Amino acid sequence: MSEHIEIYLNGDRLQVSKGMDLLQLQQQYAAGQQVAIALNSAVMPRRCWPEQRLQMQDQVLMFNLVAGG
Amino acid sequence: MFKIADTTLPPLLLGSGKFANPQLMLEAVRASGTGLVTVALKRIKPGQPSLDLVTPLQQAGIRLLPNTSGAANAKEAVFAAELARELLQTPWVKLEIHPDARYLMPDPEQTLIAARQLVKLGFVVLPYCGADPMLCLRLQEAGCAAVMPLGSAIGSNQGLQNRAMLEIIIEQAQVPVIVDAGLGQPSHACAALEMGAAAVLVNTAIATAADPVQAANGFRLAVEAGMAARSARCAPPSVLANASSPVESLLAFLS
Amino acid sequence: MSGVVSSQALPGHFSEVLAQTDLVALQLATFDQAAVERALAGQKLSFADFQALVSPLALSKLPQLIEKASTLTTQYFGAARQLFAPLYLSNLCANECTYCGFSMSQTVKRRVLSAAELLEEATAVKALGHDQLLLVTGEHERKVGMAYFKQQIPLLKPLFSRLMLEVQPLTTDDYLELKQAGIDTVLVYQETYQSQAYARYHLKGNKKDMIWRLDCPDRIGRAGVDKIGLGILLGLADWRLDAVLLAMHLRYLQLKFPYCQFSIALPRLRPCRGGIESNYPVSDRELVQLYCAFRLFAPDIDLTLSTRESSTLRDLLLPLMITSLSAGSKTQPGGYQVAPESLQQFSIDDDRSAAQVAARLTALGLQPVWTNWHPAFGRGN
Repeated sequence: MSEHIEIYLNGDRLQVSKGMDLLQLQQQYAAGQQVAIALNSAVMPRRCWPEQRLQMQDQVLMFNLVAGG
Repeated sequence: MFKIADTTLPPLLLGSGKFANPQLMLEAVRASGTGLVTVALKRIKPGQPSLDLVTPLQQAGIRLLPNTSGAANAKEAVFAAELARELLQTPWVKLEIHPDARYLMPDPEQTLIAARQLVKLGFVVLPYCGADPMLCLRLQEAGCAAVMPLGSAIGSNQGLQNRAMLEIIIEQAQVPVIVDAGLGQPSHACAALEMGAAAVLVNTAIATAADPVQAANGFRLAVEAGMAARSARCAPPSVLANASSPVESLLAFLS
Repeated sequence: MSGVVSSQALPGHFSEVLAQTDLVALQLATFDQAAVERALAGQKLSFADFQALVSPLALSKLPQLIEKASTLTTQYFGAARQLFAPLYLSNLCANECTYCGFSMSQTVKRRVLSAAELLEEATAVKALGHDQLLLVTGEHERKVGMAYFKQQIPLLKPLFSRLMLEVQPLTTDDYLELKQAGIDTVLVYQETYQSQAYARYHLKGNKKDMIWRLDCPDRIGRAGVDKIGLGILLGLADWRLDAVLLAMHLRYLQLKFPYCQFSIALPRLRPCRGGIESNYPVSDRELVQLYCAFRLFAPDIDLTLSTRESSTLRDLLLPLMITSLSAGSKTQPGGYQVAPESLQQFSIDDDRSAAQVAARLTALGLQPVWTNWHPAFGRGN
């Protein structure tokens, strides 16, 4: 029985476990992909992901690389 | 070959978009002999696996150049560049801001603003821009590692519509000039190199050809031909002149 | 030739470029007929093309050279020909240059124009019709330095639409100040780019410092001055080599300072008191060849022919390639009004008045231009 908080991931509302960090978020929603993450408009370096715990109403953007000219 | 930030590269850059499938893209990339392929950023669809573009290209030893396609202004472009730098661990970025949805014309004002900011943030900036000699001078002054003026509109395959402007840009440049956008045939690429451009970037012409691998091969040969022409310095077409009266007077005096 | 296109920024100073240049290789380079033909036919000429055009073989193509120079001059300048007057502020000089009448050791009455004298001279020049003035001095840092310039230039700014300066090489900060004071153009002729020759002619004073002079256009450009005048004194040394090095200098500066305009002058050594004979004479044909080569190499720049040359030659070249000229010139301080009998820096061959020169231009189908820009556009208020 864990608590949940509401965040936004790429504009979509999500319920995640309270205390979840960005690394766990990436593993849950973008497993195996190389991604870049921005939290509340700030680009988060990968090394910070494990320490960055999510808060209520956090806006997370997650990007990967696609084909483009 | 040409150099950007101490890295030597073949003079053909490729865009990775519009290919029928990643495998074909990879084969075309190999056939082109390129050393630099552009990629874009996109928000992931959570839970949905995406095609891994990066690994096969990286395994083939191809350097990836992230672009800021999708950015509508300087702020968004800088944000995209920072995301890309984090993702790929490279400071190289192709700066492109084209809010014009119809022709994808690059925004000169926002591009210059973004270029200045990105250079300050330590990026190696390759800006896509209009074939505007003055703008290219400003981008150069801002510290961009190259300038990438368009030959003609993205995807139009019209070739070097901006030839006269490109000649001026090449003449005044102190950084490599990479003709980007609109190159539709290998001969266009050859002409660009012959004219003095350091390199060309090709995407649509190869990706949408009936045989992309053969098209890539053609572009590879074309840039080689262009480089050979440039170092050979073949004679330009001459125009016969008629002696005019003041010229005759001077010649009479001098004889 | 390496296959790698150079993307390095230019060195900070032209002296660095010159130091890395193999002068002997340049001197020994030969060009065949095909090279000359390519250069004649080309659009954006390379440095190698310029070399071909000034080579001895290219003289056989003089008619075609002149024809093309004429076409380009008309294309870029139309019929407009700029008129200006030199105004010598002072002949006081702390340099010893063997070819100059103002040399330190020459016993000539030295004069530095006072503010009142300057205004008298300026008024006289203006009465001749001139609106573009070239201020000239010898080199004397203490008595005719920045303090003097900053005092005198504001007196002239209200009278002339264009002020040009030909004095000793100064610092970037000096040029910034001078630009603020109203100087539009700075001339600094290298005389010769060959260091051994340079040392033979410049025996004493600051002008001995060749590097300081070589890097002066860099400083002028960095200060954002509108126009830089370059030149060599033909007759001091191997003039073909000097012309080639001048072309190299021009190209370097054009690339480095793309917002700057340029002019080129190719004065030939002239008799002056205590002066020297040249071991490297330049014939009229060769002089014309050089001017043609510069016109083809840089179609947009100003080419100047001084009053050292005869009125005959000037009149023949004006329709074809020369785009600016001095007229009615006096090359001594006070020469227009205050002290007309004093010693000239060099003897003048075209001694027609400014009005006569303007009339001649009109007769030749050209348009004499006294004023190049309008104060109404916000400059020089």
